[in-house]
Amino acid sequence: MSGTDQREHSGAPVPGTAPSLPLLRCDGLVRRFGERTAVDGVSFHISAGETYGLLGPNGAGKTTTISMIAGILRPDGGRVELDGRRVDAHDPEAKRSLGLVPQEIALFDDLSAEENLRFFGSLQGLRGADLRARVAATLELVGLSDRAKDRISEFSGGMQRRANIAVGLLHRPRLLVLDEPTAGVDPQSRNQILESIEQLRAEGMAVLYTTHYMEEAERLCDRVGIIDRGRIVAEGTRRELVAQIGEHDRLVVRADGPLDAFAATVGTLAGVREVHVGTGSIDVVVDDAASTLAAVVDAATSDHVVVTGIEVREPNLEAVFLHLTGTALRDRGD
Amino acid sequence: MTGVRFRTALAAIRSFVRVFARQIVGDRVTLFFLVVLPVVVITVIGLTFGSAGSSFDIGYVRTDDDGLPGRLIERLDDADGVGVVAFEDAADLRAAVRRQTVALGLEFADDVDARLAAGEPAITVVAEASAQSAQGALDVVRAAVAAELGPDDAARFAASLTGTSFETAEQVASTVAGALPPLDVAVTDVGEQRDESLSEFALTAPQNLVLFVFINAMAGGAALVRMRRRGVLRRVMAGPVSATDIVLGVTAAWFLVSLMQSALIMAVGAIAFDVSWGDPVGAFLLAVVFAAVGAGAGLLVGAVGGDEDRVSSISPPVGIVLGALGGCMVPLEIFPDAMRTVSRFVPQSWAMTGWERLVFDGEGVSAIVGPLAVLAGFAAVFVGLAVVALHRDLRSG
Repeated sequence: MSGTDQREHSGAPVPGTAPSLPLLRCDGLVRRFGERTAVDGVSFHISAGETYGLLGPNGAGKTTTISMIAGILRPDGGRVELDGRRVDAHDPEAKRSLGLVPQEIALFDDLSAEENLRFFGSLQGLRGADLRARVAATLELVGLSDRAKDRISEFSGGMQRRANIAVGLLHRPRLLVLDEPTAGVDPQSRNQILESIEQLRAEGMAVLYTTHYMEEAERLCDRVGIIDRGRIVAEGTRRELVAQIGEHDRLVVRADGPLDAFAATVGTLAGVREVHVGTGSIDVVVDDAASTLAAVVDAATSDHVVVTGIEVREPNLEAVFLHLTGTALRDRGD
Repeated sequence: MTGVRFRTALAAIRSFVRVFARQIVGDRVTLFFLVVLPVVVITVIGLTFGSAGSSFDIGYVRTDDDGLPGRLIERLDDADGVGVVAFEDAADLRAAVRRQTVALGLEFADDVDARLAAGEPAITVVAEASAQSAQGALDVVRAAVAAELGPDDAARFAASLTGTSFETAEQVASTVAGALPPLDVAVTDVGEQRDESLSEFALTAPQNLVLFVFINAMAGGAALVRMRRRGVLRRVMAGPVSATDIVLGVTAAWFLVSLMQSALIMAVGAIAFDVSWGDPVGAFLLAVVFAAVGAGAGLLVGAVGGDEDRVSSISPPVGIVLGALGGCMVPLEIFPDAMRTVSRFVPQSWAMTGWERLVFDGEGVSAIVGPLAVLAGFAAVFVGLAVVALHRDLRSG
């Protein structure tokens, strides 16, 4: 997946909607298990319609953070506000805006997908025709309509994941929290899950997405918080994060003709930081590959250079994580 | 509790009850243990060890002799709990005795009176030695024969002593026998407060009610372990329900399952096996409180159990041992003193005491207040410990 289709608005609602107060606000969350501090002062916010990625290896504190947001765990410090209401044990109503998709398949495996949705739907206060309609629509959304009556135990791993997501979506929450929803699924189901989330994002649902798959975070998230050892070590859009570590986009232009002259021309273009001439190509370091690309092609035409190929190389979140933590994400992931 | 909170708690209870009911209905093994097995066990044990031996049939080879054979059959037919069945020949009668269709058979000689006068055997009793009802039937026959032949024996004795004829002596003996006052025997009915007789299932039905409700509730704890292990309960907590709502919902569902099983066993016992459960209010209260005990035990096992398979496999033997200690296998009355003391520490013994007072003693609610209070205490302890464990589990992350 290329990084060129990244959403670059920071904490902004979906285009066309008015800016609003954060839907979710986490302030200084702390949670300890005995001597171990699993989450140590985590703060971030998510606006309506925004997709926020919590990126980090296993054991970084992602699930514990989510458990505090969902009201499952009480924070030892800090607070969570959802839709303007503090989430705590005494006000479970605050959680009505939230849909949780846990990492494990938290379903009754001896009941059908439809029965599972009915159970969780009824706990959300849905009843009668409304419940039936939402169950049908949600199963349709995750592509399980034709297996609605089948038991969860008869599903493949990918289908179980989709049923797991369906439960989180059933009551149409304003914030959907997904904890590593693609862990251990086949590529086809994984893509289906990601497409479903993209569809929800397009419909304006805010999403908190935890993963240790860097490419998923790049594909889905407007902003990313990199969490390591219980702390958020960096936060922002992919471009902001990349900028923080001094990495830049690169254009590798393969061409025939006077490459030295072409390189000199390109070096004068706005947004170009460095140009290196190689064998049959030039390597251009730029601030933003997408906005510089057209000018580079124009320069080639004016310098009578025939471009045979252009490769856009954007620094990814893997590089950011490596830079910030000193280890590769996958080294400490699964 | 505000209106919203009340509705949320109610929704949690309703949801858990519905989902547990669905799980039970969809699982044939659970249904078998919950419904079929208790009924089968009640039937088998009731028929084998129940008090059915007091009612039996006695067969005889049909005869036109209206002398002693006719009088004897009439006397037997009039006896309580005894029926008589006529057979055309000795072969049919003996086959019926072998099949235990009748408790025993009577074959009369052709010349009964002559043989009796000569002091020779006149009646042959045919019995299957291994049949449990044969001895009781034989006692009944002996008593009837003695009653019929008493004047004859007296006449024979008088004739041989005085030299008068047997016929004369018999007339005198019969006259005297009719003039004698009947033997006065005082009878005390230990179940005099009951207004109806006991079914042969009267003991096994309550025993198995107590035994199976507890075992199934405990084994059902495996479902709770599975829910915890799969993260279902924690996921529920992410919704607009509190941990208390969840515990309430699960507890209510468990309680209703236990109560429904109790109601089923009681209904089957009453309808199919003619079991009287005693005072209706007392029976209702005892069933409800013991269902709460079972639910509490199941919850506790489910809340602290770490492995659902282990809970499933351990619960039945533990339930059987506790049931045996509590008088579900043999009556508490025949326990040695030490065992009776030990049995007071298991809820089953209190439940059995309650049922015995209701079913056998014909007592009312006032007689079971003690057992009810102790059982309520057991339920409170079980549920309380389970709630603490569940809360801790839900909040442990």
